[in-house]
Amino acid sequence: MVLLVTSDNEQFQTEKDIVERSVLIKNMLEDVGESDQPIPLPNVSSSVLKKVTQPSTGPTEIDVRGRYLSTASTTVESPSRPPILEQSQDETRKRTTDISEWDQKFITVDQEMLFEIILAANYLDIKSLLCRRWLQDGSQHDQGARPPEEIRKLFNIVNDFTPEEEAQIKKENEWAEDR
Amino acid sequence: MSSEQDTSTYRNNRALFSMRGVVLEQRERTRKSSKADIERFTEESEFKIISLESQIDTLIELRDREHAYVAALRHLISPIHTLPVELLAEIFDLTIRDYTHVQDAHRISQVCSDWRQLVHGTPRLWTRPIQIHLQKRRTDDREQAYLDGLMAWLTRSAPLAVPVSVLADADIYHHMPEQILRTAPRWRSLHFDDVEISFLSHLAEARLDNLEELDLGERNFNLDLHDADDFEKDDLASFTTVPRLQKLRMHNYSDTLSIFVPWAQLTNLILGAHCSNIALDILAQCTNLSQATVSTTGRFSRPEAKQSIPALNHLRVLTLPFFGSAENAGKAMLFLDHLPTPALQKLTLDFGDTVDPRWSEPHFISFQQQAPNITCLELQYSELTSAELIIAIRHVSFPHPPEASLLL
Repeated sequence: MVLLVTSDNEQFQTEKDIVERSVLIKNMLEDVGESDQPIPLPNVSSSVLKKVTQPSTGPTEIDVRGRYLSTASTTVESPSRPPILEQSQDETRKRTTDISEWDQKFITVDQEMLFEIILAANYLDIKSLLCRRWLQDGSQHDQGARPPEEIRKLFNIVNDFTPEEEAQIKKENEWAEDR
Repeated sequence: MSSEQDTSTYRNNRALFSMRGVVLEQRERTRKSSKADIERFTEESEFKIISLESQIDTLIELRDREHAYVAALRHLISPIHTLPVELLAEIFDLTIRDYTHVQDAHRISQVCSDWRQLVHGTPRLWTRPIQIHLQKRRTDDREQAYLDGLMAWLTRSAPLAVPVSVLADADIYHHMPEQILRTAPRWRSLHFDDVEISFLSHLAEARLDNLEELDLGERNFNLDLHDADDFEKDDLASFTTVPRLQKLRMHNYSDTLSIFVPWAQLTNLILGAHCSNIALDILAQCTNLSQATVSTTGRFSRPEAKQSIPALNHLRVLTLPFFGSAENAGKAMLFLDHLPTPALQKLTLDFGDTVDPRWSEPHFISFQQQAPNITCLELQYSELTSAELIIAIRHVSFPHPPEASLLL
């Protein structure tokens, strides 16, 4: 077991094989060897660490709908909640997202928590938790990027292009069609 | 307001009020009025409509502005802005897939000005394989627009190297547009489905400083170079400025070699050669090969002397797909006589495309003497008998468990 200490001073006893999903922690353990000393994680709060270190058999990603995706299976659709796109715009800031765990339990996080998890995954160097899927179009087989207007709507991003930039974008799209 | 708009508005407003009621109301109002009075009433109403529309426009503008405020305020506190740009760029990179990368990169760069700036300023997002498609049917304007777009794309990946493939309508490309050619030093790989030798000759003059892989496709460079009158300088393509080239795929089905690269640099080669002399000429120079697939017939245009080549000391994996017509029947395994491969570990002999897949024990044994370290043998579509198979595998140093497969 490994003792982790979060930014809000909570201590977590966690199994070694779970924490070693983090390249950062794995390297630290290799550097210090067997030790009872706690490992400080000043950039990770306890609430986020709980999400990141839940026992797993292999969750790899969280998508925009917040589902954990297992490497061993296809995307698990939430049976209980509609996709985030179908929610009203008013819900977007504290929009809740379904996270489907490998053990089929769903936990719910808001978008702020989702991005905190991404930041923690980046800090801890857990590549598999960096979720690219929230920018990908789940409605397509090829899983290409979502259309810009859909991304804007999902993340409350405004279209702030000047008319000149809009014209440039139009030309880009024409080129992409013609190439 | 036009009469069409009037009609439309009335239709839309039917739910709000009854037109019949309005007619009755106005009939009552104008019971004692003259036609001139009614025309005046009409004018007054029209002025009111104009005034109301002006107020509505103002209100709509105010409403839209408030919508914009709301969107901008939500934008400012959107959690996505908590991500550092480096991490955002990493996620963009993960999002972009090879097979949809043009659409993906464009879509992400068209979300907002911040993302556009970030995507355009991150060269690695623009380094997926890009196709240069030269077409005949484009008008000059469209051709220029295409080249501008392509250049914009290629420029964004600078200074990184990019994989490039070239697709062109037949007989159009005797040269690559100069502006595109200027990016040639950054091409990491170059792939053709089909290419004219004259085009290659022109291209070979460019600096290809980062080129690691050159794939000349299935083109049969079947030039009739025996006739001196037909020979032109452009019928040779000599790539000299390719310091990083390691992988080459080419087919040369004439009896004369028309493509030249720094052969000794190559570590991987896929070669199709109708004439086995040509294949051996090339292999003799490829002293650093580690993996090769040589597709040939066993036909020698210079049969009088046994052609010897230096030992291919680094070659670990060799695949020999034989092919040929009835004219070359049974000759395929002659090719084996000429290949000293002391380090060879895996050998595949594929007779699937030859007319006569006859097994030749002497040639195989002769080859094995020059390749004593084979641990994996794969025979495809051969006609060897059980006894021949036993002899064939006698000298193979199979590991435990053995690695051998037969596709008969």
